[in-house]
Amino acid sequence: MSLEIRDLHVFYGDFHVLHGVSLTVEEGQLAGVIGANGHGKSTLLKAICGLVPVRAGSMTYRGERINGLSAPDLVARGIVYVAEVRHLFAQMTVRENLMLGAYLPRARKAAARNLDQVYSLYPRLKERERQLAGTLSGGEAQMLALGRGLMSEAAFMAIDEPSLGLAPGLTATMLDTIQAINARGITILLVEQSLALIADRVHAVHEIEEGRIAALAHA
Amino acid sequence: MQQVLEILVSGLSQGAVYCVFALGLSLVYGTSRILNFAHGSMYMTAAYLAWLLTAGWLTLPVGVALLVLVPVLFLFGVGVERLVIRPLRPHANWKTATMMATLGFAFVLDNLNLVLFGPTSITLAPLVEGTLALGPVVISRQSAVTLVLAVLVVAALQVFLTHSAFGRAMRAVSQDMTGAEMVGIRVGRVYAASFGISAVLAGVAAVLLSPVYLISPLGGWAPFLKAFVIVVFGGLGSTQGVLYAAFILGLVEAVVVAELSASWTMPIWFLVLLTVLMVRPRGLLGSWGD
Amino acid sequence: MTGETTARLGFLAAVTAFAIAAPLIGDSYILHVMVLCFIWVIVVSAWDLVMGYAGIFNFAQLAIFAVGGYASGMLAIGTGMPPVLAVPLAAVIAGAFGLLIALPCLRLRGEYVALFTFAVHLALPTLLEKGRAWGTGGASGLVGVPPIRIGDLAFTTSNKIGWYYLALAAAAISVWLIYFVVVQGRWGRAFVALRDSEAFARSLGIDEYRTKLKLFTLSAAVTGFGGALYAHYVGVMTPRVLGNEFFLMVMVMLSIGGLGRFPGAIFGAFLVTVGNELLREAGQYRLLFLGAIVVLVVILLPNGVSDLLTRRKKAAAAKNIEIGKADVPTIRSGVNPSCSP
Repeated sequence: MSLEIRDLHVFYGDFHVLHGVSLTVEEGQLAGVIGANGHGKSTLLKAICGLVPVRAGSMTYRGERINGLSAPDLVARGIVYVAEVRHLFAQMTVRENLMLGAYLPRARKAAARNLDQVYSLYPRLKERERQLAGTLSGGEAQMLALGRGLMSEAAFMAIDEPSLGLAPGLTATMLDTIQAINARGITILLVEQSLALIADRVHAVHEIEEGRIAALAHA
Repeated sequence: MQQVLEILVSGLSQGAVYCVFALGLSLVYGTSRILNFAHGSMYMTAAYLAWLLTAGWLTLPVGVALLVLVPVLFLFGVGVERLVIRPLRPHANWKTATMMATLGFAFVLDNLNLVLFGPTSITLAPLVEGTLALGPVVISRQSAVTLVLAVLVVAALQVFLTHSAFGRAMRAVSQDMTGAEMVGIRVGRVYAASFGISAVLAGVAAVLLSPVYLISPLGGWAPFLKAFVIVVFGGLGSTQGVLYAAFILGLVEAVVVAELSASWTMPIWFLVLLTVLMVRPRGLLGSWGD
Repeated sequence: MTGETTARLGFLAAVTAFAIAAPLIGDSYILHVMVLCFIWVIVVSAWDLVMGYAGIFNFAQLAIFAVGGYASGMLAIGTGMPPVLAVPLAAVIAGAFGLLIALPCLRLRGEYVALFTFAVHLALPTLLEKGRAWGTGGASGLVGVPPIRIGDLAFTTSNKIGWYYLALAAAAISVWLIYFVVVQGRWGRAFVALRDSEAFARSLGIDEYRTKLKLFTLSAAVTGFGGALYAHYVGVMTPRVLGNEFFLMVMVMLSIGGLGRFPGAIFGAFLVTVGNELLREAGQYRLLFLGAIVVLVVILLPNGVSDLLTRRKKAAAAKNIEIGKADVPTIRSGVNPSCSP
């Protein structure tokens, strides 16, 4: 078992966002989380990746309790968040962005190998290597966000709405590459708004509704 | 012609030191979005420490004192961030809170210096004595050394920010804090380090400027205001902008001192500030964004 | 009874209590300290309006205070204008000065406002010292600012009972205007909305810049009014009012009281004015001490004294948070059989 979440509660101030979410993701799985906007999908991913505090419940990754660990602590364990707003370093080049993905010592050792992998997965990024990240198109920025995640020597990637702002054709390409990443043995928890988009690609689906895992979405 | 060249040299060396000092303010704002009102008072505190090391307590050469001060000031800056700034970060109104706290801290330092050293001004020995003749132009060795040292410090900082892993991490934090956390950068360390580096830069500026301007408990506010005008002119948080702005304003100041009188400098700085705010509030290279 | 009504009744009760207490105090030193308290209440309430409620980082508060004091003193000394007219006119001048400060910087981001207003604060003493030709009295300031006279009643520095009532009335009117008319009125709601969410405020059709300008000007006028009273009370006005001591005092007042937390700022004004008098013995260590208080209070009590009250409530509340375990439905996550790892 890769990730196991039990009865997770998250608040923004006094606002109760996640009301006891439980789910498990198997090692090597490509799991999907779907649900409408504002129902807590992103919050779930951010909580897993240490970007929002957890009020109650437990999260374990490969048997280790990870509640309360900071985002850098989690990156060091291979848990990487790829955000819907991509949080790239706009004033730095594509290459600098990728190299910052390999900031921690564990990832730095594998940087050369991972950079080759990223460039073979997204040749477009190699072409734009010297361009500032802020000047990339939406699709290229998404590639860079995923590429930067891979550079962190990720073992578990939480990917938040990669289709956001992309044309349908591009979305499909992006999801293809996410499947390719998964095929390399990286466990993925993928958030999307609609089931149709990811139904044929994921091994398991969880639907989230008003902060709860709501229904059997796909069987 | 000769006079023009002398003004040019004095303006450049003045600008270079202002650049060192203003970069500290800009660096802290860039990484942590904190406006450090105590920057001028930290500068003065560093000047007093330098005085203690060279005349008041020990009699070290100024150059050696500077080497001693670097680690001391770095730790001081880190300590200030840990003790005064960090506890305020979680609060909803942290912006107001940090302004009040750094301003309060500035007054603590000022009054501590007043209690310890008294209200009379003291002076710091220059790094080198004598003059230097470059053809028909005669400049003081101090302003030549000042220019060289300040340029070296600025260049070293640029290299650090662009070519070292931690320097890149600092730039990453200033561009996107969440993005930085997502790649594993410990943002708190970057904040602390930027305060440390900022204190060191203030100290270098203090050692270079204090032989010219006197050391007094409230003497940090004039350089602080100048640094602020430079930072606004260059664009809040932009290191490149600071570079240009500092040299431009250093030259402007040298011309004002030579053509009008020294008492006109602050009003002119103020006028520049007003003009920049009205005409181009984002500064030369600044960008908006939180 | 609503919170607003309670606040109004509490306010009236406090003013009445102060009015009745005056003759019972008798001691002229205590009356003097109370007069100072009332004047600082005016200044800090006006500052709270801008800093606390409108969220504008204004560090030129003492500069505006000084402008009010100087304007009134210079009018009374230079033109022989009766102080009764000079004081309100000084308030208008201070308001105009506030407007002049606000015009270039209020469109900009908060940090610029903070630095710009603070630059004004730092620049003013030099201006006053150099302005001897215009009647500022240079470094030694204005001496012999005449007392306020209303009919036969002369409010000289030694007329403590008279000043007590005058300052109490002025403070009461200022506080009423700021907290009950402005903060709780239409304007107030507009800028509290602005502070909390600019997008929301814009959707209500609130023009941010104009609202902030009006507020800043009003706050400056009230502050200038306080400064003018101060000048006529102590009879002198020097650039030293812009020194560390007063600046630190108003900062401690506001941070102890808590920004935007009526009546915190008022409470802070009393506490600090009295505390400062008690600390006179400490000499030059007093300012060091005041600076340290600012830092400590901001760190330990970010919302001022009201934290001491609410912290206990919060601790109690935190224990009682019920996490509705019963609501959690059974998890029915699906497995995609066609696509297993």
